[in-house]
Amino acid sequence: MSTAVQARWDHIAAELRCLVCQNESLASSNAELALDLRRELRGLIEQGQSDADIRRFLVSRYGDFVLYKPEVKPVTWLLWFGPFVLLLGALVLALRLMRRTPAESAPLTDSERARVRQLLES
Amino acid sequence: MSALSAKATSRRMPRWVFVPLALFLAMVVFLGVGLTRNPQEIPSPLIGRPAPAFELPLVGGPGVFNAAQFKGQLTLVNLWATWCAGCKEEHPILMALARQPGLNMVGINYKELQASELSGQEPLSAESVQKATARSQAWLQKNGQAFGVNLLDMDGRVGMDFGVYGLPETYLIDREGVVRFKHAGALTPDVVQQKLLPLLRGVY
Repeated sequence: MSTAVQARWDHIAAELRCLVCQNESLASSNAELALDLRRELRGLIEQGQSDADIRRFLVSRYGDFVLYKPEVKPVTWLLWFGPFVLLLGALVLALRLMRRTPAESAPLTDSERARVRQLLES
Repeated sequence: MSALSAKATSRRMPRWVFVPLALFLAMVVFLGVGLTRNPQEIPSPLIGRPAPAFELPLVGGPGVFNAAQFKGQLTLVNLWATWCAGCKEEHPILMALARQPGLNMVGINYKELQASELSGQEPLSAESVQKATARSQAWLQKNGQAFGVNLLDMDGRVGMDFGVYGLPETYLIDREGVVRFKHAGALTPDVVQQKLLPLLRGVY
């Protein structure tokens, strides 16, 4: 395997999930299916297919689940943008809370004023 | 004074206080639902799409089976192997399904010889094919001939096109050759009752 092919292969396989042992990448898994898929990947790279073509090949068989970084499309919008929407919401809420002017205190009545003065002087 | 204290009470609990609580509860619901789901059940992108085109040799017999033959009949494709425990477990269910009128049963023996036995030989030797054939025939003899058509996918290439990631896997292909249903893992009476039979009785 040439070093160029090897480099692309390493790069792509690290971004793909092994479906058998789901917490491992295709590059690190020793499951038989992962071995087969790695062989297949090497073939595709050697045929000169682009990264996008290779990803499409896998997604059409195993679904978006094989990608550690799923494509940005309507079904994955929540996944991609959800955290930012939450953060924005939190910021808006925080700003509104901070900007809220303290409720204006009602002016003291004469009797209250007298009582304050009495307390302060005592 | 009383007006003042009333105002203070109403200010003690502004409505926004409940926003984090609501968000928290929503998260609990989402995570709770997530826990009840089976992570092994990955939705197949094949559902609603034509079954992959392939051609495989018939086990033990001359000739090949072409995926074009799916057209015109309702087909249940089961990928299995003799080394797969779940396959043995579900086999009685497949035997029962084989009695369903109008259902074509296709068994694909997937990678009967695994990497350890093949040690990277390419192309596969006639000897390996013979070995796999003998094993799969003996297994079916013992456990029941559920399949009308028996195919051999030695290198697992067709399995890969079906998106197989764990044996056994079962696919229902309609008369147009479109995949309607997939189940990964052994079929259970529940899956057959709740998912497969309604599909069989329905539109097809």
